[in-house]
Amino acid sequence: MAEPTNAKPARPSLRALSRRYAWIVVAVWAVACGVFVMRGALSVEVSGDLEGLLPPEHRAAPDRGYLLLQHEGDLSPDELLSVADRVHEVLDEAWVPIVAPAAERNGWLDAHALYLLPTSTHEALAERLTDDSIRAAVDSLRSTMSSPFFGLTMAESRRDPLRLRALTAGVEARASWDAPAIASRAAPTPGGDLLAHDGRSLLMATRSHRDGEDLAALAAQSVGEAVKITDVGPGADRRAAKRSANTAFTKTLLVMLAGLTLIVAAALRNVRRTLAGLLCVASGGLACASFVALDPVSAPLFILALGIASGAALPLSRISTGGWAGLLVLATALVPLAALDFALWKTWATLWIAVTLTMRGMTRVVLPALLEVMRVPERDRAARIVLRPNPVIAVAISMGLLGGGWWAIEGLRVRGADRLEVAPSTHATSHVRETYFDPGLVAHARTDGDDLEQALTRAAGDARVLATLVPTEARVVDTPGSLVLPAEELERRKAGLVKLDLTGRLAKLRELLSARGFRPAAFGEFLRSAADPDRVPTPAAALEGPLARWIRGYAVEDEGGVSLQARIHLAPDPDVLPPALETPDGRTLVVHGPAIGGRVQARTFLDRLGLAAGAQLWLGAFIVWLAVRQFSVALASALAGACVQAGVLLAMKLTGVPLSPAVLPVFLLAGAAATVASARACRSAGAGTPVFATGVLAAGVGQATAGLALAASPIPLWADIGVAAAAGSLLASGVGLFVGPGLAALLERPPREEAES
Amino acid sequence: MKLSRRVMMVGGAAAVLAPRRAEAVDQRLLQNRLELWSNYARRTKNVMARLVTTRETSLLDEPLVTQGSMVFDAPTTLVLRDDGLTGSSSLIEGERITVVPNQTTLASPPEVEPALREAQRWLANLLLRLFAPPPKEEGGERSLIEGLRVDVPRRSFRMELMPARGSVVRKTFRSVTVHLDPVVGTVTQILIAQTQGDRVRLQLSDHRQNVDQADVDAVLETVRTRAAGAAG
Repeated sequence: MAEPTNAKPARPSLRALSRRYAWIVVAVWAVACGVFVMRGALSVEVSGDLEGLLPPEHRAAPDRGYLLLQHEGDLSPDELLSVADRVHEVLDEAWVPIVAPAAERNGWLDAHALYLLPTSTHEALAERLTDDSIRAAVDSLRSTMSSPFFGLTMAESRRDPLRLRALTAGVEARASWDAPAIASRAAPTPGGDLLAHDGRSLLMATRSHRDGEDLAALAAQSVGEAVKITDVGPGADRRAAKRSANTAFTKTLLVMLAGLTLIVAAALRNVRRTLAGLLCVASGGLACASFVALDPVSAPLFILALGIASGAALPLSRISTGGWAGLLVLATALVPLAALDFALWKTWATLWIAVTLTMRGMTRVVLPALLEVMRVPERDRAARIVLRPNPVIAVAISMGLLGGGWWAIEGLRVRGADRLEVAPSTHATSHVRETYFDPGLVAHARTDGDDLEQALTRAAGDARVLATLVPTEARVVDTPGSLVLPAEELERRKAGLVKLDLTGRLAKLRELLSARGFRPAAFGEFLRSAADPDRVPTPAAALEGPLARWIRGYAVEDEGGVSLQARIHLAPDPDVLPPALETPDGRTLVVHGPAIGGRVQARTFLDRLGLAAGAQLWLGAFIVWLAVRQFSVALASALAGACVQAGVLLAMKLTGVPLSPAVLPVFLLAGAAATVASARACRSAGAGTPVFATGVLAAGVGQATAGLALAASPIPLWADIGVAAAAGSLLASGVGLFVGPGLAALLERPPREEAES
Repeated sequence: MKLSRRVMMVGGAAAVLAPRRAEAVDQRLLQNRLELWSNYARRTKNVMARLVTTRETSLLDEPLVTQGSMVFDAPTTLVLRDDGLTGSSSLIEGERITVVPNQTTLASPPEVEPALREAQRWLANLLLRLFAPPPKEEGGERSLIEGLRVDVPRRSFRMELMPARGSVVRKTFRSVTVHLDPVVGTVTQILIAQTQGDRVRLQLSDHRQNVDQADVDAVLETVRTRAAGAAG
C-alpha cells in the first residue's frame, strides 16, 4: 500500500522489512492466530458485571439477594405463608428476615410502648394522660365501635387505646423496623418476609455466597409447582445483563464487520487489498480478545477499537515520519481516565494502549507482508485532493460546534453508573419494584462496634441521626437501632416518665374503660407494659429476645469487630443526595450504595468530563507538536478535537442520548480522532501535498460503522454509546479535513521576511 | 345381602345424578334470591332506612347496641349514622371510606393498616352493591355476587356472601350474611362475621325508596361536613 511519507527512501522502515521477510511474517502471524484461537479468542464471553464504573464502596454486597415467590391465585395467603416457612427451612442460614417478624415486633412494641416515645413528646404525653383526654379517648373508641369498619382498627385500638403512637407517627415512619413494609405495598409476615396485599406474591431476603439462581432452584424443589420462585437479587440482574450482552455482542460484531467490508472494499476497490486489510483487523481482534476481559460496559469499546483499526488498512497521510504520532495520539486517548475514579476506565486507560498497539501492529507489520505474498502492487488508486485552507469557514464551523455544544450541555441528562440500561427488566423484577420496593434504591450506613451489643447501642443513636434524612433524601430508614435506646436516652426517658405518675394515670384509664362497658383485661398488654418501669428497650434485652435473629440480619462481621448496616430506602429523585451526617459522639455517618455512587457521579460528571477531555486534547496536541514542531498545527488539532467533542454533545442532545460515565471514552476517542485527522490535513496543506481524501473519509465512515452497529444493537446502553461514537467519527473526519487546516492557517505566524515587507 | 342388578343400576344412577340435582336446586335458590333482591334494587335511586347496629366483641362486657339511620344515594354513596353524640357515622363514597365520631371533640379512629386496606375496600364495595341498582342487561343481578363465594340456605331468605378462596380478605372477614324481605326484596339485615370473632349486625327497617333528594342531601351534607372537620 502506498502511503505518502516524508521519510527518505533509504531509511529503514517496518513496511519494507515486512515485505522483505513476507513469508516469515505471514507464517508467524498464522501461527499466532492459531494460538489465539486455541486460547479461546473465538469464544470470547462478555461478563454480567455492571458495577465496574462504581467506586468499590458503593457496590452492592455480593452476598445479598432476594427471592420472589409467586402463584397464580391458587393459594390462600396462609398457604403461601406456609410455603414460605418451608423455604426458610430449606435455605436455613441463607435466609434472613427483611422485616421484624410481626408477633415479635408487636410484642416488643407493646412491652415498651411508653419508652419508645421520645422525651420531646413527654409534654404531649402528659396532655394525653389527663382525665379529660383519657375520657375523650375512651369515648372516641366506643363511639366508633358501631361502624362495620371498626374491626379493621380494633387490634391497633387494643394495643394503644390512648393513641400514644400518634405522638411518634413522624419519627416511627422515618426510622422504623417496619421500614420495608412502609416503603412498599406489602405487609410484614409473621415469619419476617413481605407479603403483597393481593396475597399473590411474597418477597424474602437471602444472604449467601451461593448464586441466587441456585438458592431459587433449591427452594423450588421443596415447594412443588404451585409456587414459582425467582431470584430477583443483583445476581439476576447480572445474569440478564450477561445473557443480553453476549447475544448482542456477536450480532453487533457481525454487523460491524459486514459494514467494514463494504466500506474498505469501496475505498480500495481491490479484492486482495480488502481481504488483506480485513484479515489484519480480524486477527487484531483475535489477539486483543485473548487478553481483554469484557463486560457490558466495556464491550462497545472493543467494537469501536475494531472500527478504528480498520482505518489503518486504508491509505492515509502521516503526521510524522514513521507515522508514530497518529498512533500515539490514538493509543493515549484514554490515558486521562487513569486520573478519574472509575475503576473500569482506570483499567482501560492502559488496556487501550495495548489494544491499539496490538491492532495497529497487525496492520503495520502483517499487512505489507500479506500484500507482498498476495502480489498486490504498491500503488493504489485512492483519490487525492489538495486542501485549500479557509480560515473563515473553519472559524464559522468551530464557533457553530462549540456554541452548539455549550447549548447542549446545559440540557443534557446525566445518568449515573447505577442506572445503565443493559437488559430489559424481567416481569419478576418489575413486580418487585412496583409491589415492594426498588432494591437498587436501598443504600446503607455502617455503625461499627467491638461486638454486636456495642454496635446496636451506637446504632440506636445513629438511627435518630439517619431519621433526619426522611423525607427529603430518604423515604424510610430501616435499622434495628430504632427499637432500642442508648443508655443516656433511656435514663432521660425514664426520668421523664416518672414525673407523669403513670401508675395513677393507668388506674384512671382502667376505671374509665370499666365505666364505659369495656373489659380492661382486653387492654392488658398496654396496661401492663406501661405500668412496669423495669421493662426497658435496651440493646442487651433486644439481643436476648426473639428479635435477635432479625437484628443479626443487619450485622456484618469484620476483622476485630461487628458492623450493623442501616438500610436507607432513598427518595426516587435522582438529584437528591444524602449528606454525610455527624453523630453526637463525633463519628461521621456516610451513606453508601449503588444509587448513591451513581448520583455522586451524575452530580460531578461534567467536571470529570471537562477534566478528561481537556487532558486528552492537551496530550494529543503535545504529541502532534513533538512530531511536527509547529505550534499552530498542534493548537489547531486540539481545537478541532474540542469542536468534535462539542459536536458529540450537540448530537447527543438532538438525539436524546443521556450523558453517563459509560460514554466518557467516546468523547476522548472522538477528540483523538479529530486531532489526528486535523494534524494530517494540516501537514498536507502546509506541505502543499494532496490528501488521501478517500482514505480520510473511509476511515471516518469505518469508525462510524462501528458506532452505527452499536446503535442498532438491542442494548440501550450500547445504542447510546453507538450514537455518540458515530457522530464523533463522522465529525472527526469532516472537522479534521475542513476546520483544522483553516485554523492552523489562521494561527500560523507569517514568515519573518514576509512580515517585515 | 345380595343386591339385584336393577337396584344397583338405580342406585348408581342416583349417586351420579343426585349431586347434580342438588347443585341445580342451589342454583335455582340463588337465582330466586338474586331476582328477589334485584326487583327492589333496580328501582333504587336512593334509600333511607332505620338502622339498629349490634356489635358483639371481646372488648366489651356486653354487646353494643346503637340506633341510627342508613342513607344510600345511588350509585356509590352510603351513610350509616348513629343517632346522638355518643355514636359515629360511616361514610362510603366510592373508594373513599370515612369513619368519624358524631361528637366533634372526639378524635377519629386510627388509619387502617395498609395490609387491611384490601379488606376495607372489599367490605365497602359489598355494602354499596347491596343497595345499588344492578346492571340492566339480562343476568345483571349476578353482579351482586361477582367475585364472591355464596351459600344460600333453603329455608330462609338470606344469602351468605364470602370472600373468594385465596383472597387476603379472608384474614379479616369470614362472611357477610344478607337477609332479604321475602315479599319486597329489601335488605333487612346484614350480619358481618369477622375472622377474629367479632360480629356486627346491621338491622334495617322502615325502608323508604326514592325519597325527595333534598332529604338525602341534607343527611349527606351533615356527615360530609363532620368528616371534613375531622380530616381538617
